[in-house]
Amino acid sequence: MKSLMIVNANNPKILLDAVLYGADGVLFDLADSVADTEKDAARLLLVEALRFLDYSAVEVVVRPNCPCQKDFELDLLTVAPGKPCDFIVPMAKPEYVVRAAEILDKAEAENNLPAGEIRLIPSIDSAAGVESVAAVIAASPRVRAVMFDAKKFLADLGAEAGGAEQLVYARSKIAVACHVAGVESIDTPYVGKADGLAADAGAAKALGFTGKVAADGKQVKTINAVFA
Amino acid sequence: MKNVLGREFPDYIEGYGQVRPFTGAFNNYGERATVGTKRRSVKPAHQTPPAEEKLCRSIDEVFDRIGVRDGMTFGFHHHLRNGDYVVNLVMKAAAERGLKDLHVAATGIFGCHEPLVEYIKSGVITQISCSYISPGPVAKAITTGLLRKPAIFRSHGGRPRAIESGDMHIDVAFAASPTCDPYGNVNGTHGPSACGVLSYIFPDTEYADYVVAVTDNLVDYPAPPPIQITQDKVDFVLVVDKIGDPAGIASGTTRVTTDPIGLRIAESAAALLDEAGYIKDGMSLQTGAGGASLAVAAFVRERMLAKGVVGAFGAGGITSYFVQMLKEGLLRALFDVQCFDLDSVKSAGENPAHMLMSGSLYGNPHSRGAVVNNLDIMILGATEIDLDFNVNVVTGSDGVVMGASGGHNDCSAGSKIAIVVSNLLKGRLCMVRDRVTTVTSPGETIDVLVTDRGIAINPQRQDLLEKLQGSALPLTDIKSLKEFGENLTGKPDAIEFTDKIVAVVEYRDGTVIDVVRQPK
Repeated sequence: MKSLMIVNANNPKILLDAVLYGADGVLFDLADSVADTEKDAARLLLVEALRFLDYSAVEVVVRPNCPCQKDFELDLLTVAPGKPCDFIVPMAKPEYVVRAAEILDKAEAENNLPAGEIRLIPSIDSAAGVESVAAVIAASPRVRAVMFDAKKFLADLGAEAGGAEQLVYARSKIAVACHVAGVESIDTPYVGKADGLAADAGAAKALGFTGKVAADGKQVKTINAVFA
Repeated sequence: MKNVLGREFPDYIEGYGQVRPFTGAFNNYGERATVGTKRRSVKPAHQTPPAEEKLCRSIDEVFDRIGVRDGMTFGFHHHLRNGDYVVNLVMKAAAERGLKDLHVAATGIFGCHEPLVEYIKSGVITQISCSYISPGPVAKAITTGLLRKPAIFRSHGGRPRAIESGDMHIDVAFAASPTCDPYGNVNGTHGPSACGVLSYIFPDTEYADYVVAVTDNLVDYPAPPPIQITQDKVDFVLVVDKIGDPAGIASGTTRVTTDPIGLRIAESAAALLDEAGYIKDGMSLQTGAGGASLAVAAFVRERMLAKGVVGAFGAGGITSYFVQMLKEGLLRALFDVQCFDLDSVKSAGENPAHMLMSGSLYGNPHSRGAVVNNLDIMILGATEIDLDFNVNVVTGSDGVVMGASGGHNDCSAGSKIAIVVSNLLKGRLCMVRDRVTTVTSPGETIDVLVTDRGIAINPQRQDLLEKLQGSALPLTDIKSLKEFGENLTGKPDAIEFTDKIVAVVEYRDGTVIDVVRQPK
């Protein structure tokens, strides 16, 4: 998966158009993009869209709320019947991955889905996550890739966001662990000026990343070109 | 009666006259006469008393010297676009004089012309004919049946044809003139209200009984080159404070869309043109100035650069992208009927290869050969298209007037390949319909529909279908696009109309291709 485009799972127009941007994967976000008062509506809208619309052209990835919140389990149980390809595990640590896998065991059994079909993509959002990335991957055979969130990682470190050099250690550690484990590594979304995207994606690729999150549809073409 | 597209209307339409039904895009050619003209000759300057000089101090003086009266037709151009002051200025003076039953034959109507609605209500204006109208108060007034006679929508080529043939007689042409001298030589590229070429007013300056140059930039004789309207065509010169608002005339720049889906549609269209063999030396193209159409030009440019192709010309409404292609040597010439931005205004005034063309030269089917006949590629928009590829650009799916033909049916008929680019879903509706609300361009002249959900080729273009066999492009058929779209949006209920005809849509040859009825 070269490009994974984030969209707000609570926006009907984007649910309709998500397949049109040329992204390999679409990340339907139930977490940061959706207001607390809209969480129920968003997960119901998303599962209906996944049932009704044809997303066969893309890998469907869903980001639930943090496992530290009550919405996490509800997100997984509600959306799993829509047969997404993968769920993100936010703020990933090994026990969160294990818990996500257990919830999916239950959801798959209840909905007559093949066991183990829905995969997990842990999101490395903290310093502890970076240090434990190999254990996070090893926590479940459902893990098919790891995603990196630099903004949250730097916030956890207490470092002000600056340039790509700040991320060399974390990116290297994640990319190497993924390579050794044989799973894909998906780099953090780029939020700077548009003309810096190719260089940022190139820096991640040079450290071994296999793909990158697209913050919006405009980034997809460049990311696909860099990771081609 | 029904025309060949199955569109039904009476043989005679009150306020319009006898109807000649549309019979096909290419059925109405051959020899025909043009109408005679009337002119008032002018004595040499040394024999002309001051009272008979062309220069007038007020619009009332112009009206007095012409002898304006009820029922006249006034011609205007729309090169000042949404910054035009001239139509409102003239019609205000006409209303103050108590004139009634006037016909406003403006080439384009914009939001800035809202004051006309009052004159429509009071009977000062009883007819409007135009080639372009933007959604807004006047379009709404037409839709709701406020005009006493039906509006007439003619294409950019159809309007000059109507004037030359005598179908529409212009009594007085009021030509907004960005720079003018006291003897009536007009330059459109200089002055505070510079708008570039003045193409659309030429049939009026040739065939009107009286021609008035209205300027806010009077200069010493002779006006600087390029002079577009020459003194022998102009009866009077009227100086006013301002003919327009530069902010509304030409936007600083026109830009390619940044919407990634729009860009992907444009990229597909450019790829199709390349695969079908249209991107080659000597090629010619025209696009609309909308972001998605312009994006096709940008992708075609990339392919021309990659292949080392030099095109013959770009045509139509000109933007900075075409000016750039001319400067880069990718195109040998531009035929300009309308400057859309400041770069094109500047280029029209400086570069001899950036050539003005009149509306007649652009698209008149009954001339000795319009430029559209030499066009290879035309990129178009559409509000709706039907399973026979008939296109609507006049009404929205709610039946409300939101545009007029512009050059749509001139260019689709003339070009070797006419491509409509559009999102399949517009608002909450699928733009492919069983039957379009109003036909503007007949399906026999539309070759391809490129959407974000796939590309449909008109089955009449077997040659294209054969050429693109095995292509990696997302080819489908138009019925599948419609089914796909309607599966997402549902099928809307038909709009209900009254019997009242509020506008007549002429095809470029003067036959009636459709009418607009008042929605209930």
